[in-house]
Amino acid sequence: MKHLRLAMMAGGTLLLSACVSHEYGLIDPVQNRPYGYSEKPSGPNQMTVTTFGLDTLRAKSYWKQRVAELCPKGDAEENVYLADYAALPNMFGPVQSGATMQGTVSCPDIQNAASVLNPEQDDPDS
Amino acid sequence: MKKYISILGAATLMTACATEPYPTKRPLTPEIMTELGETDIVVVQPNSGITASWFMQDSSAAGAGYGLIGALTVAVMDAIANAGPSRRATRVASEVYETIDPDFLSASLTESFAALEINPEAGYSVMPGSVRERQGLLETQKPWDTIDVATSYMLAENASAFSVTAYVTVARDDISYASPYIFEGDVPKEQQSGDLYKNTFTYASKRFPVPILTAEMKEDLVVAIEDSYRDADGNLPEADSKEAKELTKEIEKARDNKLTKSEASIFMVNNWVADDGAELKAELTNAHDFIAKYVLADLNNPDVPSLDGSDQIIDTADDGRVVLKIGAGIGAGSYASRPGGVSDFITYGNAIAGAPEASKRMKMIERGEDTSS
Repeated sequence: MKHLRLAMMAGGTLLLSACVSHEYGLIDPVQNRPYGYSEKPSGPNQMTVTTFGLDTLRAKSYWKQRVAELCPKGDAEENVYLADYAALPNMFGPVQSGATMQGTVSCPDIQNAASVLNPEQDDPDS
Repeated sequence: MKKYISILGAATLMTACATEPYPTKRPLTPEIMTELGETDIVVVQPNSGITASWFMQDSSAAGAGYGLIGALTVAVMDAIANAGPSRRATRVASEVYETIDPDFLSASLTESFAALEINPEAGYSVMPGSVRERQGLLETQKPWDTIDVATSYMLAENASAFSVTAYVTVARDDISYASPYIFEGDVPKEQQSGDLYKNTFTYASKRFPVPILTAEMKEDLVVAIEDSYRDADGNLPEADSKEAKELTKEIEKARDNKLTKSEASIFMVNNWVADDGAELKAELTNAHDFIAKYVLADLNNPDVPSLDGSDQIIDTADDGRVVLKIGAGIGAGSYASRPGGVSDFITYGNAIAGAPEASKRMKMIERGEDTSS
């Protein structure tokens, strides 16, 4: 009985893990793809990139891969300002734990990324 | 028939619980900003001081399927596994408390608000008035018509960094809150009343790099662990006692070749408390200046956040530190200051430990005793 229960638990875990993709790609909760990267333009030739992985190694490797894709000439200027591991639900989907990296990546190859933001809008000094 | 009515009733109750989420932030309207004008600021004393976070193991769900024996077994295993990290976090919080106590924290934040200089060209309607402190244990009621600022301070699991979070509210007894959101049906109860303004401001400190474990560090770790188990007379726990078993287990772990986050905290806290807490005090001043500056900016910003926006970088310092306005989720509209050039990951645990001295101080305050000595 005990073995049967264990086998059922293992089977259930396998089925559940099969539903979530851990492959590198754009985060898309609708497609059950909570891991990978998301990004948005944040200035001239600059992109704000967020990666989310099951663990810190994955989050870091997604970051490196995306930076290499955005700046294939290897001239990226990076400023990572978030590298946290949390055992908490996150905004990208029904994930209980994971590692997040966020920062800006700049290089001439990031085109059409002219700021869609107005950084001075909320600047108290302005 | 009765059965169906019961099911229907239960379903209705369940639906009632599942209200649509809204951002926690409540912005002021331009009219209320004008009405508020110069407003006094009240800094709530952070009685817990700087707490240390640690990861609490909870295997109760795993043991639940194996009856009472299973539940008891995992409870004992959890207790042994949690004893070390919990004890170390308490020790770390205590070490920090010796350098920085709650009085220092509230005085520093008060100073940041008092020193705030508002650029006349900013066109603010809500302006800072006088600043005072509030002891929440004695003055439990939040005063009307003030900017009330409560804070919490927490070290990361390995104590390489810490975060400061300010919870800021404004309430008036003569003005009711009117939600800026449009609802399909009735306005949800939580959107009908309460604070006129509400927002959160989080400062993440700089991070110290975690050292690579050396043989000398391993022995220092053992000494530190033993010290944490000594009683007031300097004696270690009696052999075969529960504490002695926990100590043996901890020393075994300390002598392995892996520096856990909890073990690292013993070394990392020294970075913050060395030189009379110079690094800690400098970062706390930065945190409090950030909070003061952006609280006033946000009080004068009528923008209504939405759940599906995106983060906005509103300032980048020369050292790469950024100030972000969070764009999505229930935290939308809140502000975060984060260090730039980060390479190491950190974790904030799922449990916090405060210094025993902080608990003693709180009891003294409740008894009306003087805590200044």
